[in-house]
Amino acid sequence: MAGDVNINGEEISYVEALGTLQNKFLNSINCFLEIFKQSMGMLYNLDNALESLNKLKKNIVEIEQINHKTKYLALNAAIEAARDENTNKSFQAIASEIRELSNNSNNITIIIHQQLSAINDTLNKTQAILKNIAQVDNSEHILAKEYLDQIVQGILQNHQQSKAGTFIKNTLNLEKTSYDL
Amino acid sequence: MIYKHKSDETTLTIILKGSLTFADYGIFGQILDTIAKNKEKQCTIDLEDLEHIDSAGLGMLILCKERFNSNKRILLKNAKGHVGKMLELGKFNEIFDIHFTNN
Repeated sequence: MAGDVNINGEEISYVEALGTLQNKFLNSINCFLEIFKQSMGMLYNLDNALESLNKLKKNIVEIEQINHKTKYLALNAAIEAARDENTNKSFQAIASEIRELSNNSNNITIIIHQQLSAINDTLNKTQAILKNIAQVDNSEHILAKEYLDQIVQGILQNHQQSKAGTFIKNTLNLEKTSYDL
Repeated sequence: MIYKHKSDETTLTIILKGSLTFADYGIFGQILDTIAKNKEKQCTIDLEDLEHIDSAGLGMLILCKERFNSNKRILLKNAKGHVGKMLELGKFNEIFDIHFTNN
């Protein structure tokens, strides 16, 4: 028996075609819901990452303060060692070494600071983009399912009525033909 | 949106009021923290006074379910009007334990 519609060369009934359409629409809704969830999840993750980054920045500032104090301690030790010729040469060497270590450590913290700022900028920009995406209300795509269901129901009702009408018409024609005979 | 919460021996109840939209993601973060800190195994989110929800709000509800899926039962109840329709069209009953009101 021939179907009501031809989809990609296949004859199928209205009921089957509209059922497939509704299922495909439902799959789209599921995809949308997954995107809504993932977007919000990413925003919360970014918030956490930015919070951790701020804590890290505070820790780096503390290390910088320690470096600063170490540097002056080493400088004072070097000055004291230079004043007194009797001071052990090895003490002078240690003071100098500590100052150099402090300088090296300070240079590293400056680099870390720059890298953290770059990460912070990237995260902030990513968060802003994601907020732009997530704050667009896409709920109309879900509400459209209700409209689709109403259309499907209307088409099927018309189709049923049309089939019933054709059946009655054919039956009447048959009766008329038998009278004619 | 505003929210309040109460708990008995078994259930933490979160009551949402107003609109749950993208603008509330900070407040909803507090709700997630509240659920995480509470020991109750069941959490009921009461939506009776929630009048509107957007796509971000739907995302936040699903996120909540998934975040606590391993150790808590998250239940939605009393959704009605626009919110009830959104949950119904989105087949939230396949994601959550859910109780719809009739109106």
